[in-house]
Amino acid sequence: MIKPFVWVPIARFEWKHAVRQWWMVTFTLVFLLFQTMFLISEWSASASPGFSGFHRMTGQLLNMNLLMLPIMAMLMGSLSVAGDKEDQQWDLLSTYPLPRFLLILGKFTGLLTAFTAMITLSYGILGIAGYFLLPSASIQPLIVFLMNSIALIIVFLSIGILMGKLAKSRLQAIALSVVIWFFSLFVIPFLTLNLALFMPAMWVKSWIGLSTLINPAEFMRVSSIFLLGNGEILGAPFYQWNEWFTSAAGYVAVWGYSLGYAGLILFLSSLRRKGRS
Amino acid sequence: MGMSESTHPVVRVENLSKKIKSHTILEPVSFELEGGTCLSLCGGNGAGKSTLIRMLVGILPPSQGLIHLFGRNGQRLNDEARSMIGYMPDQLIFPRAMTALDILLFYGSLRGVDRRRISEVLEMVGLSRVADQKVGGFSKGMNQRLLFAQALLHNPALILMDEPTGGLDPNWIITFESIVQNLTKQGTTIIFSTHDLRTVEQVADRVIILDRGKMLVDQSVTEIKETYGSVEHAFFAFL
Repeated sequence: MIKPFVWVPIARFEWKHAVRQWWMVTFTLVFLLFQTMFLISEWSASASPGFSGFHRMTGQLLNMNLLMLPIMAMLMGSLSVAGDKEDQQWDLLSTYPLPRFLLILGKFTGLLTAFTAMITLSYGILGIAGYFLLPSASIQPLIVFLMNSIALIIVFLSIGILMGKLAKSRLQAIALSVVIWFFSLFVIPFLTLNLALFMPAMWVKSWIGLSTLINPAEFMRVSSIFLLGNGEILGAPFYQWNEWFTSAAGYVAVWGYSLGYAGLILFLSSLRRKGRS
Repeated sequence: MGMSESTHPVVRVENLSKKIKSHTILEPVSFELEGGTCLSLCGGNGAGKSTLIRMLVGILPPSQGLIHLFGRNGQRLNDEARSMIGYMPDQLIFPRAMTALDILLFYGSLRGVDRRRISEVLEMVGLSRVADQKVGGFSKGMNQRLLFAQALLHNPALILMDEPTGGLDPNWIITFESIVQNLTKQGTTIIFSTHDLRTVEQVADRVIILDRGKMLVDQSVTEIKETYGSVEHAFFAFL
């Protein structure tokens, strides 16, 4: 009989292992360093409050989140699985009475907990610093950023786990993660906008909508802009989206999207490839 | 141990073979093993020993043939049958930042093993004093002993080990032999591959000698000693 909570010890082990890694602490410090730099730059320019609306600091934070979190989450997930395969741990676990999906779920949950804890700590420190440096600022955008960062980590961590499952070595896992990151952050948005130039105007909105839905990095970028109440910068065709996103449905959509996307990817990761364990 | 007490042999292999593309790794082999028997797989590098073990534990799918473990199809083992198998791979690298105790607690929790049993097994393999040390600082022999402990944790009815004595010092080889002898006396079935022919003579009831994927010998150690004088002489007579 399958023990439904057998993923819990796997998650605990992954969490313990992740937080003992020097690179995890280094990443948190670098992330915090960038955040602090943006905060100080906003504070020194203090004519406009940094935490209210889509200003320079929020723009910088959004770009940093989109550049750093997906690649880190994918590397974390893919190296964890590919490392287990290279070290034969994966083979050993496949001899245990352990359904593949629960093994994947355990790894995902443990890594997610570790990464989320680090990011939350970093945002927490930023929030405290912001409270003293920019007392008039609202905390709401910071919470939107934190929530969207976690949603971003959920999606890209699951993609990383799939990449680790497909890779034969750690090196391949890194290469696959970097390729996906590059496509997701640069190639797909570039192609989306450039192809839109050649489309009939009536198709453009649907085309951009579809491309945004398929590409999680773009979805998180767009949803962050809407959730921060700055959807108007995207232009008149997206006013309707702005209204919808700024209601409670917006938060549900971001989390539903992120959990649904991750669930699908984790399910694919748990499928056995023919002739492999 | 319910299933091992049934009338079925613990292990039954029929015409099991492995090919990767056009390259034959293991030509068809067949054998049966009763409960409480210790079988040693011997042969040079590339003989097919590890492939056979990996197919038996379900890591590698066979190209042809059948595996029956505890009377069940070895490729469709249920959780009950899986929990009766212990496996020790040849070169597993444990996460360096974890302690020996962390690792056994982890594997133990997947098998529902309590902490008392974990301490008992750590004591058995001589790692009690270093249980709280990170395995990144362990020697090859200590790593092998931890891997052996992992396979013993849940008192399995069938243990499969791939080169378990590799990297062990002579004292620990003797301890390993004594643990294996005790386990077989208690009814545990053991299959292990090795290059250590002295250990084979000490603990194995039966020997299969493989060479480049072919099974050359499948005899009891007693028969081999009668015919060739020792397992070592038999090994060199065939290879």
